[in-house]
Amino acid sequence: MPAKLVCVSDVQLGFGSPQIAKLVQFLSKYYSTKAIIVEPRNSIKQDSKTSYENISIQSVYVDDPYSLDGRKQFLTKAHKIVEKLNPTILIICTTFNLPILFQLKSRPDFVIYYYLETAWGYGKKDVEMNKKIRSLVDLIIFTEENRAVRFGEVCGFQDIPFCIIYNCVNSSNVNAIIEPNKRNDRIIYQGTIREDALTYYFLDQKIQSTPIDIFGNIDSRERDFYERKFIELEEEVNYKGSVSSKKLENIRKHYIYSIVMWNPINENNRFASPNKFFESIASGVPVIAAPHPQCEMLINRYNCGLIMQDWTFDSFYEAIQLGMEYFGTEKYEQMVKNCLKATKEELNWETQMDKLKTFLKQV
Amino acid sequence: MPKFILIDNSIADTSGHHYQYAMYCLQAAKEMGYDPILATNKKFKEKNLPWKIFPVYAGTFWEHEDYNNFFIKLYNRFEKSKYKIPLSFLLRIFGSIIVRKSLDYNKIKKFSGNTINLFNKISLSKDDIIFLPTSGFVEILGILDHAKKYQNVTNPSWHFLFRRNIFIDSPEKYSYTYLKLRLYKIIFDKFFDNKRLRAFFYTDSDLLTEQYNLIKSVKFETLPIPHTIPCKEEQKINHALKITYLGDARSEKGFHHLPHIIQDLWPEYVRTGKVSFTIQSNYNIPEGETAAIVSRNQLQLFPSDKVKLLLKSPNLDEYQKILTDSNIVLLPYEKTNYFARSSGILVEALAFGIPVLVPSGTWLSRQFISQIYKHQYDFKNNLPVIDEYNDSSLIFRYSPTSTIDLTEQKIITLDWRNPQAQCWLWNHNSASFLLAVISFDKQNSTSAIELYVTQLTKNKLSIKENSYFLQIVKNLDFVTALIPLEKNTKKIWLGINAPYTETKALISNVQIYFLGMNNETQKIPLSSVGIIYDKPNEISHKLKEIVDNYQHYSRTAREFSKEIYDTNNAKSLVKMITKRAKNT
Repeated sequence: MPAKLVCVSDVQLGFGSPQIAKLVQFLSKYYSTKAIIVEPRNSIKQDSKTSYENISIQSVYVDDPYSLDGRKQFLTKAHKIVEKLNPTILIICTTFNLPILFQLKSRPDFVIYYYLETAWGYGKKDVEMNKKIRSLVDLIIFTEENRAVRFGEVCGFQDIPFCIIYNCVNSSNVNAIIEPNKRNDRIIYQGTIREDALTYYFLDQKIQSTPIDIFGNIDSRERDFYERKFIELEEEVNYKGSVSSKKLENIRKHYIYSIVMWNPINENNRFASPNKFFESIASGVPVIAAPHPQCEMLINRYNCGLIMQDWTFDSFYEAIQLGMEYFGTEKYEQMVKNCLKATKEELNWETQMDKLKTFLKQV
Repeated sequence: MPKFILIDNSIADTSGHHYQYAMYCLQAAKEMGYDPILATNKKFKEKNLPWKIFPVYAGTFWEHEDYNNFFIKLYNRFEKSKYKIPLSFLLRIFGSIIVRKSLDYNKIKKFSGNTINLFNKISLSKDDIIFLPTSGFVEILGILDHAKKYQNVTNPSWHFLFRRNIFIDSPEKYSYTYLKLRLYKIIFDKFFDNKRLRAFFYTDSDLLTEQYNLIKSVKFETLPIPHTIPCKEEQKINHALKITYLGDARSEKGFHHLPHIIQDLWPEYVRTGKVSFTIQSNYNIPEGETAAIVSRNQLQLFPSDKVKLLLKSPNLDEYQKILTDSNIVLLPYEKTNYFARSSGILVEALAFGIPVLVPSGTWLSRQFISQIYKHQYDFKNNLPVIDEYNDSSLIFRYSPTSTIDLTEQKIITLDWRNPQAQCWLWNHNSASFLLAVISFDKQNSTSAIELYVTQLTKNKLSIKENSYFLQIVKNLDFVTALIPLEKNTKKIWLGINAPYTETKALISNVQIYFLGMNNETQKIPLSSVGIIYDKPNEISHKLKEIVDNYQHYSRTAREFSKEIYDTNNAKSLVKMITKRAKNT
């Protein structure tokens, strides 16, 4: 009987964490089976209109899935769906969905816990829950090494095998790189506009003469204020609104640099493994990154971008100015070549999945 | 024939550092006319050794370590407390009571009892030497307890070696020193109460000896490291250079850096067969430290023909084979813990003529930094000098706004009031290197300076920042730093810092050379014997430097090996112990 693969996502597909669908696709191919992803869906949010080969999606409509009540509602419904589907392979994405494991009447043959966020971001109860997964989980996937270390320190590994898979969903087969001299001479920032993404740096007067385009939704506590401020930008820094990830992929490769930064106010942010970091490199766009450990390590390894000295505005500004100075020189061209080298060598989905294969069970 | 009795309650089998240490000492003692005897933990089963074995001790140094660290825990609690001054006063008054209450007398009595068993089987005479190379408070107090009851135990000389820090990091960071030292003094002063016991105390590093002598109780001296093998005439250079990490898998030893280093070198060095890695990967504690578990997990994904992991601690023969087969030894240790502590593995590698990679500002870097200074100093004679700055052309100031040109003074003084001198330089003619030679006045009291170098573009944007921790060594009144310059570097900011506020850096001369290359393809090894790195993210780059210039590093390491071996060998250790015993 073929394996039955189910994944419970913590996000609506097409709106973040593309690696979830990518992982499910890989496993569905590996185990030669179709897959089902159960996702939370906010009725207000539009459909991403993304479809995935061999994957069907079951959406659970909840008004605000990330509130306490919303989470409970989602988990109750998702649990019923999983119970009914009775999978042989189950992927649980983040601690958000972990309670489902404790409720299932029978344990699937192979359970993967995709640890995309720190457990303690959800509170003490979630930490306690994470300390008791020994008999429920067969493999933990971390996206960043420090997150793995911290999980071990707080919750203990409990003798559960684990591996570290970077958030690169691109293939090693890179093509359609735009030559440096044919680019638009501008820098891209892609991502949600919010306080913990340090995006208010783009409002500073000092940066206004630097050619930067900003793509993303505004998700701030002071939404109206930010919206007005970003829309009013008139000089070289421009806000372009939100576009689909497919469109963004086509736009991105025309840029000369991509900015990656999160405010390190918590471990999730500090130990970020940002999708856009890998996406940019795969597009042949060198990254200007804040010193998140994984970003710093990879930029140093491949010389495929620049690292800000710290998270201050001054470091952000200086790194960008240095990037602009390098653009048009041999140094910049080498960085672009190094992006391709990094993608082919290590920062691609195939290489990451090779790491995972060692741990996959026969089911 | 006098006896050389080595007591190490931590020796439970033939693997590991303790056993290795004992074997070397006993063999040397035998060759020097002693009757060697080994007293070990009860778990030790090996019988085929060329000396008598007495497995009498329960409990190891490590099992006692939690107890031995009670002072550190107390001190740490005190340091975190808001009520430092009142607590400090109370501890000064009640220190001896606290020590008395906190000592685990069960463990001390046990050790004492085990020692009785030992000396019921061995008769002692005054020329006998009893050496405890892994001493802690339980061990020394156990011996003291025993000495109270048994007269004959006081006939021979007792030699206690301490190898753990009292403080971590540099002297600059020893706060409330007097308190910790006072508690230690209470313990060591007990030896003055027992005048019949001839006891001698040691560490194995000069800086550790300084720490222990701050106690102002018994006198400590520095013992050499005994477990070294002399360099051979012919050296084995493997087709793929073998890069080795020895020692158990723990953060203190930098184990968590290894997956990154290997991945950094993977495309051009490992996969191509230029290098392979052999990594000792057994945990120091049964469950393993978290970071070590994560790192070992990553290391296990590399192909085993390129990255060989040793999951068990090697025995002595295996260890020696791994070491002597190595071409480069990696020691990416944590600086704070190894400021004063020695590394036996480093000394073994250097004595055998193997190039090493170590962190700056540590006991490890001190062992060969003088060779680097001499090597770099010669660069101004071997490479074209494009530009040169000395006292008359340099303008050093204490701060950007200061108007005082320090180079007009005979000596630039850096201390707690003015810890930094800085200057600007211009790279007009696109030099490839900057060589800084900094000389010190005889009255200089600091043991190190820090050099900060920022390279900037013509628009004053920072391209690269480097820091160099330059230890000042005896018999050399200068230090050097050789900085490769980026192509876009037009301006350079140089800062010299005094890292220790309690001492003064007295700089008598600063010379700066901008150096070119003889030709574009010239290979310039930047260091000698090994390489010292300042930050962990430099390790991979520096390791590539050693590999790319291996002939040079191997040759210079072999040339230096005799100096290390002549000082650090088992016979030197036994001679020193014997001499000290005879001189009383």
